[in-house]
Amino acid sequence: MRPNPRRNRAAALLAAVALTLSACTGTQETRTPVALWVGGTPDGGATGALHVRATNLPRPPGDAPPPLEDVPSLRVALPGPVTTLRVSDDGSTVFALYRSDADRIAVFDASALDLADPTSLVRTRTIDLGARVAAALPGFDAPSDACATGMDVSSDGAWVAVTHDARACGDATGVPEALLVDVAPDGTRAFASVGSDDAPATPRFAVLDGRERFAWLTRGASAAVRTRALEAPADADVFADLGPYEDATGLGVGGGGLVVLEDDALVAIDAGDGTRSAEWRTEDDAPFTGVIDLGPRSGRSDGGAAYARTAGGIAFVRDVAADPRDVAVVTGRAFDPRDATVGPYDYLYVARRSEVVAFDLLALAGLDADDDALRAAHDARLDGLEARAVAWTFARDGRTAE
Amino acid sequence: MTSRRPRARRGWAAHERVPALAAARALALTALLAGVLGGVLGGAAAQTVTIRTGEDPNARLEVRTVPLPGGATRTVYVVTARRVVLEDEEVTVRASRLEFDPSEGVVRIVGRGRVERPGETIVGEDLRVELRGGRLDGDDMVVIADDVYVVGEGARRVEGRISVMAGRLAPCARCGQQVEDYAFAARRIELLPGDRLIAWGVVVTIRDVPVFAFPLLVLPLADEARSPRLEIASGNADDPGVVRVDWPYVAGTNAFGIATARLRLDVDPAAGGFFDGRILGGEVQDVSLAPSVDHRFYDARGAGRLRVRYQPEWTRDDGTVLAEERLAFTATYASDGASGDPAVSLRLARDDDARPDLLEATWRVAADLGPFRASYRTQLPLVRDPDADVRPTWKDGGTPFATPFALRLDAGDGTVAFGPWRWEGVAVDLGAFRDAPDPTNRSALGGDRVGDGRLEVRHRLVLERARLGNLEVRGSNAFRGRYYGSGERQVDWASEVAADLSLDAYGSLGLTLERATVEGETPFAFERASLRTRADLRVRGTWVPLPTLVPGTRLEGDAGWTFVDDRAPDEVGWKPTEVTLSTLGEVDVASLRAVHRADPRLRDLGTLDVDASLRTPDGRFEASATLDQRIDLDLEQPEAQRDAPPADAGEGTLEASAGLPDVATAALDVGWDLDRTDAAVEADETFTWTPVTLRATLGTSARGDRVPSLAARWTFDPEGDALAETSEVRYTATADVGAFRAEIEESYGPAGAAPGTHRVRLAWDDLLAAQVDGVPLLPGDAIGLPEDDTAARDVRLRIEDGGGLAGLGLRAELRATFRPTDDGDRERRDTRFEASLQVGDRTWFTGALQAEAEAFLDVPLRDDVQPEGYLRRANLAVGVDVLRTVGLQGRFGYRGRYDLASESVASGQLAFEAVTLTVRPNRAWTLGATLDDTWEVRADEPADDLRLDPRPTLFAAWDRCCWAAYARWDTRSGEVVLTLGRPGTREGRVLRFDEGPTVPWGEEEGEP
Repeated sequence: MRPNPRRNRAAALLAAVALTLSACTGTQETRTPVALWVGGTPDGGATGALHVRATNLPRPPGDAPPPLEDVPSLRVALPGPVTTLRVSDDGSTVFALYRSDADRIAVFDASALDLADPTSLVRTRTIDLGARVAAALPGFDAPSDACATGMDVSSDGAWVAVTHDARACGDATGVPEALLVDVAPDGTRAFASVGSDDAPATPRFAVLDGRERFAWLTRGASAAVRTRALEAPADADVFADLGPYEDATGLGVGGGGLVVLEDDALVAIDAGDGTRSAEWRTEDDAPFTGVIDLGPRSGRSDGGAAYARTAGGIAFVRDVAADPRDVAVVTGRAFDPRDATVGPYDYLYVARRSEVVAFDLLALAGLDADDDALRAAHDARLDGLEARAVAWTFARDGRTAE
Repeated sequence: MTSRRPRARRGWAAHERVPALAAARALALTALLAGVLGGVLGGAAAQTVTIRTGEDPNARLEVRTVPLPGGATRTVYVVTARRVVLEDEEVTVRASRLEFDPSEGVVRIVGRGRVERPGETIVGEDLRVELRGGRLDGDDMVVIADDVYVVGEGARRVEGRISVMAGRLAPCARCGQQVEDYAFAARRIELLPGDRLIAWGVVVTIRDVPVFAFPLLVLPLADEARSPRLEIASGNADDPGVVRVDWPYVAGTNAFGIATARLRLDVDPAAGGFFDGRILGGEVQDVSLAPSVDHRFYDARGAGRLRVRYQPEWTRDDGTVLAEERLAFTATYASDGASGDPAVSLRLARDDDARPDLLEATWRVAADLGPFRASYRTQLPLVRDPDADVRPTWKDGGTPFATPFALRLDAGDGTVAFGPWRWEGVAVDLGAFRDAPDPTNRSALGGDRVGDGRLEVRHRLVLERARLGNLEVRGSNAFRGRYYGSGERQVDWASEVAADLSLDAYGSLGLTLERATVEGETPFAFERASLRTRADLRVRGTWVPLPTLVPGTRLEGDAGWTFVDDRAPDEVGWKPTEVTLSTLGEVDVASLRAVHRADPRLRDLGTLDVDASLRTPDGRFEASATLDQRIDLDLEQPEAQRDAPPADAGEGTLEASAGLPDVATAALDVGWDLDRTDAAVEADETFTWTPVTLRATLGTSARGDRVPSLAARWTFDPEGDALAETSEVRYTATADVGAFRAEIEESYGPAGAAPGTHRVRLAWDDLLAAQVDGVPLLPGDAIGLPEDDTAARDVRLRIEDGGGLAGLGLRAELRATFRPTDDGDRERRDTRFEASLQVGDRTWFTGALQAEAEAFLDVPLRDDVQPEGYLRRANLAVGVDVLRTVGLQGRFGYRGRYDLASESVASGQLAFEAVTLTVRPNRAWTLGATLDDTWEVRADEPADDLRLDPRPTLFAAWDRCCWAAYARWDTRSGEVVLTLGRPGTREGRVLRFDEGPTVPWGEEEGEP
């Protein structure tokens, strides 16, 4: 900019205005409460339950509630252990996978959840997943033959992706399969993975190459990610060839693409062409032992976070779309993590066997940033629930004026 | 007119003026050098013409003087050789005899010759070529342009247009067919290379037999996007047929486009003759015209584009709606950057298919305004139904749903400097927006969208390094504030002030005050931010006492105060402190360092760490000792490191090593704990040894050095019940013998502990390696460290490639787990053989066999849990080509399921993934069969979809070079597809019969 008196006068005037405005700070209002859904089993495996914990509640002066407040009135009993929780993209529907005599999905309306109103926790329907699989796929003679060990839900809630592993249900050995099941009220379609490769990881829904696809990991002589576009689910194709000998064990969504877990690394897969775009390892090369979930919410939002179980707890990558030289893998101490989710206020909630631990993700950036370890901000013991899954939705709190 | 004499090359100039006979003789002698002549063509721009005769020893050049009627003469060069090539800038003429008139720029070919231009080749008799204008005449010509063959008795080329009289468009002419499969004979053909071919009076011939005639044929030759195009798609009972015509047009000097007429035809498949029945899919019942246009235009300031597509509502007489009314258009205009201010861009778009009921409007204007770049933008989704759930094309999470107006003043990279201050990044943005409410802002919730005005101000004030004597001050203040009509504000504000006081050689003192805050509220989801406020003060100091007397000694300190942290309120107060004293820093053989860490906020006196080291000077022999001692100064508080459990204890380590590197070294690591808690004092356990490690190394483990190595480590606990109770023994040994390398690694825990590591690996260069895990070479009993009898032991044998076999990878592994049983035996379980093989694209037998393959095998074997072995998984992906005649490709897979209850294989599925066998008996024919199916081969009553059914899809392709036919027959469903098109593609006219014949199989066998 060339100096001239008129411009300097204008700049000085603007500077004065700007500096004056700089004196103004932001407003302080009450934020929207968050309901943390924790699913599991209250008795070690025979039945299931959903508990709701409330966070970010209004804090009247001198009466600060605990960071993860138990809401005993919002508890639901289910006939079988809850193994997976998923939330639709708009945050209004919660899907809880459980197994009683067969696999079922309890669907809850979370759009009007009120922490003060037990009747606001509404179970809208139950999807008989095992029956749908048995009706649509050969090789499943009875609903109980399907044995889902992990689940994801499509953006519109019309499809679910599950891993069927008969070994988990005890009476047979076989090859894990990735199943795509139409769970719309009148849906009858289901598709199984093709070929003879293992499907070792929970399949995911992801927007790849511009279309929402069902993606699953296959492992044989080589590992690959195969997909079915939801608009034409009968056609399957190989999206990413991961090469021979790769010991791929997990699949997630993050950073606008896919993330594959190999024994000692998280590998980002480009959403456009399926190539490897980045790779992360823990500082001490501790092996990852399983991707729990990826990304904030259900994994399809704009966030690029990825996290996985490690030998010592949780390994977290803030943005898998970034250059690994700029974003390190940080770890958080949380022995035996079962599931995790990133909430709207930048806390990573990790469900352990009998407690939920919240890690502050903002401590990874800015002042006093800690690049090495996730800092546990608070935790809460679960009341008589062995946790297996965790998810979050927004809620209202009718106990306070809004 | 400028004339240039022919330019001589390689000695030809010497012969130019000699009589013709002598010149010819000279030519014969110098033919190996090839002849070159420069021609002088009239006009201002002289051109160089080169004539070559190659290696022909009989090449001849005659220089003829031709008398003209006016008495003047003209020189003509006549060149004869086995192959004469005349090259101009754009034209290449090939012949065996040609006459070149340089003054007229005319070449006459005597006999048959060939004239080539970029994208155009003409072959003919007695051709006359004007090099300047491109005119050409000749007889018995073949014109090859844009892959089109035109044969004619006579042809003329004038200004890029080739006229052929009594010609024939013969696509099969290039295929060497004696009798062409098909051709188009025409009374007259006009060929415009790169644009189109027009033929009048056309007769279609098949194998030289006239079949039918039509008056006019237009064939587009232009770039596909700018070519007229006709597409016909057959309809059926569900989908209408389509006839589509794309017609490029030019509208004046600054506009062009493509107009498209799309006729949608409602057909009755049960009726119709040859044309409508076969081509259109049935008798046409109703027609709907869906026009579209793609128009581009340019003006002095920029360029625009208008794309419109319209489908009127289309209903049958019975009221069935065949098509809803749909409009899609995009109108854009943008000024060029070079055309100056104001920079304008407009966009108006609607797409009823993708975003029904949504009209998108965007308008941007930008211009310089004093020191600022001023820009105005409006971006509106105009919705007929305000409650409609629409998502504009710009909605990506960071852009508002609607921007009724936004005015921005941005100083860009401009800065204002006054003294040490620099003001930069100034921008003001005033606008009104509409977007989804921020879900975390409770006061904004209540509807799908919220609208509000917003003022955004951002700037950055930087204080450059300002010196006041020994004091240096610097700082920055970056601010972004957003102020909303609702009264809410959101601020992102980061400030830093730092002062450093230099004490010259005696040290320095530094102070940094930082504050970073993101706080407030936004009503809009697109501006949602992560909120956090933190402010702290840090103080750093360095003191170098007596720098000349005690060099290398310094005292450093770090402390601070956290004023606020709303994410971690418990951290407000003193920050942890750290004081470090270093000395002997400039002495090679010794160092001493003491670090005190404390946490005043917790009133924790913290810890003192002392590190001291001694080492020998550089030399052949090396020895060193390092002592670390930590002393907890406060027994009542946890250590300074937050989240760490209270220790109330100190600890120390001593590491000592000595030896000759690469020959023999020995090392000792020893540690101790100091516990001063009351309980420890009472139990007289204030000092305890931690495990001691002794290490010794002989030789080196570097690969290929032919020096064997042995490294051993013994870790023992001096505090154990028995003196020197072993914690771990580990040794590794390596040896290189020729191309082989052997590695042994074993470890043992304390007596009775779980099995340690036992690994033996033998590698042959980088070609092959074998490895055994889990089998002890040296039993633990032999060294007094028996392993736990009750622990499971994993044993595995692996053979794998070493990465050095190009294009070949293999791995085979046998593994099992031995687990003790209650009766004292060991059971073997999880026994499994797994193997994989990759063979890259390889050829054998001098190329006769070409193959690539990838195979995998997974077999659980019989053991004490698995009653019998069974094939769990296997697959083979293969591509084989034999003599370029027979090919096999695809993937075969098998997966089995074993029922432990019935002790039998419950299911075995064999999968064929696009397994294709292809036979190519000659260049024209390709025959094959494809199988894509899964069969249940073990269960007695498989599901219908899994029954054995080997009926393939058969296909055949007939490639006639200038056309091709494809046929596909699904022998299972009876579907037959016939395609007539171009070689190499499967696109073209398609005839499909859904209910063709099937091959009977299984239950269908008895059916007629």
